[in-house]
Amino acid sequence: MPTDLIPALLREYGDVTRVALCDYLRPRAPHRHLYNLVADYPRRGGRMLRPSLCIATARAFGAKLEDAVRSAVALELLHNAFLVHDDVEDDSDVRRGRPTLHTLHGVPLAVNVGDALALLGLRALIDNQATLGPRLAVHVLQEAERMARESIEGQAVELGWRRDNALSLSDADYLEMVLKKTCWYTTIYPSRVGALIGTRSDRDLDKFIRFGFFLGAAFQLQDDLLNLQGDRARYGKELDGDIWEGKRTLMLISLLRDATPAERERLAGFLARERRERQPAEVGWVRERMEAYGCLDYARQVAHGLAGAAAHEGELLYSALPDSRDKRFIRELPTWVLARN
Amino acid sequence: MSTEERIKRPEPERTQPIRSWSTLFGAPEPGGKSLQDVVSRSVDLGYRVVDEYVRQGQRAAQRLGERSYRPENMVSDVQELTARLAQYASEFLGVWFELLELAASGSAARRMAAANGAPTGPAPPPAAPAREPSRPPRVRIEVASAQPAEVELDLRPEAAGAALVVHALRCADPATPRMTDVTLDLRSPDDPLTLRIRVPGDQPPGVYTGVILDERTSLTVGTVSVRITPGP
Repeated sequence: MPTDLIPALLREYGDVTRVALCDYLRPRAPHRHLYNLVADYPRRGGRMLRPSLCIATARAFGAKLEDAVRSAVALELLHNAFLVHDDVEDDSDVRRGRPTLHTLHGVPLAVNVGDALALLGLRALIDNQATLGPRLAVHVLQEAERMARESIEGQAVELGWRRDNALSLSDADYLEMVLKKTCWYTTIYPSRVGALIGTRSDRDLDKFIRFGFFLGAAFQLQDDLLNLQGDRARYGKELDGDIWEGKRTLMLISLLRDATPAERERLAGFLARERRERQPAEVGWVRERMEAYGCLDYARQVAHGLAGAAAHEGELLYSALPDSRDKRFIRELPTWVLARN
Repeated sequence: MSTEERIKRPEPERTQPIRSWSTLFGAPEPGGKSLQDVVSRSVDLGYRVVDEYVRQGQRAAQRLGERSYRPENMVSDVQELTARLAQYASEFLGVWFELLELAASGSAARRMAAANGAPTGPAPPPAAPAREPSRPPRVRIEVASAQPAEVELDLRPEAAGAALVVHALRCADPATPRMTDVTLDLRSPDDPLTLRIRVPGDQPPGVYTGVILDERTSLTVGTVSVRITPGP
């Protein structure tokens, strides 16, 4: 069972990151059409899982907290840049309990704000030179470039599925997409950069891919489940939003596989339409069919398996390190990703 | 040939078996064997996916060979990487070239503000000619400190008229004691806000930062930063 350690460290490292983040979000002109909007998503809060994992990994390997703060800030800025663009691409209505940026201010301004957040993240990475020195700062920057590339490629895969109305996807297709789209920037990159800063060496970073993949995939599956079954007040996004958007979640892939030909045809017609053309009754029907075929239970079991593998890979990576709060935090994460609501 | 309509079988409702998790491995057995199988199968599939991904990466790395990180190569590496990251930025070319210049010159333009390592902010870009309609509220700052102290305050226009609270100021190093005697008061709507900071005599030198929140919405509307330097 997860203890109170995870919420405590998320709060502690989240606060440190938020304070440092303010330096990059200072009000300046043009206020109304750019910098006020740039600060919007970061100020809405969030769990701060990514920066906390980065800082905890660095500290578990012996780094000082301040060595990892700017990398954590960069990660949070890039994360928010992705969110702004994702919301436009998905035509999402709600983010962190409030209307999405593009619904408030229009697509052109929102896209520009996403660009600005990405570049502020880049600035934070370049500022790493002051604390890490040029060699290590370039390594971290190189990791960030790879992370951004992997995430964008993963996003392209998923958007392509939706545009082409892909109906015959496998679980392996889903996991490959999640590996690139979610795991890289949620868990693989924070782990690799934390280890890079903590050990001052880029040797053996590939072994963090396995741990990050299993942890990130379990995290994504739980997120997809919460989208269907979460507490509306706590979830912060639109419930059933993934169905409205036609997202190829494991539950939808499972339903497409299990449905009768007639149901599959109806589902294909639903998915072929634009989001704005879909009706609440159809969304309800998809949701009901997922329940009837056990798609949610199936996804939950897969998530449990992946979280177990993450725990195993985590032991291989971290068991030799001296005991610390940071090490315990990382070890508890696989359980926590499934328990969160 | 008979003119009677031939009897046909109805179209089957489905043409393949139902493969939901609950029936994938036959009827569930006591002890949840099928659940166990789903877990095992998903872990096995996960390892196959990630191992293939790592193998592909290793093959790509072998093709590309090792990059050199000698000092003379550093600037071009930074430029190449930042260029790739910035490809999808549209209206930030000014900032982008500024960043390139910083990286290329090797100057640590935004070094740590003090020895304790608190990060400084990015340099502000040139002011835009257009004036913004709203302004942040007026603020009076009162500091009681036996050591030299420099205060930096950023307030957003949304702070005007809001009930504000300021959190304890903290260093990047969590072991350093926080500065807790910090208040924001508004006596009347016509008076300026008053920011009062009392620095304890034994407060270690460093940069202490905290956020200012709108008490009603809990949104951040500003920051306050105090730099304590050792006395003469």
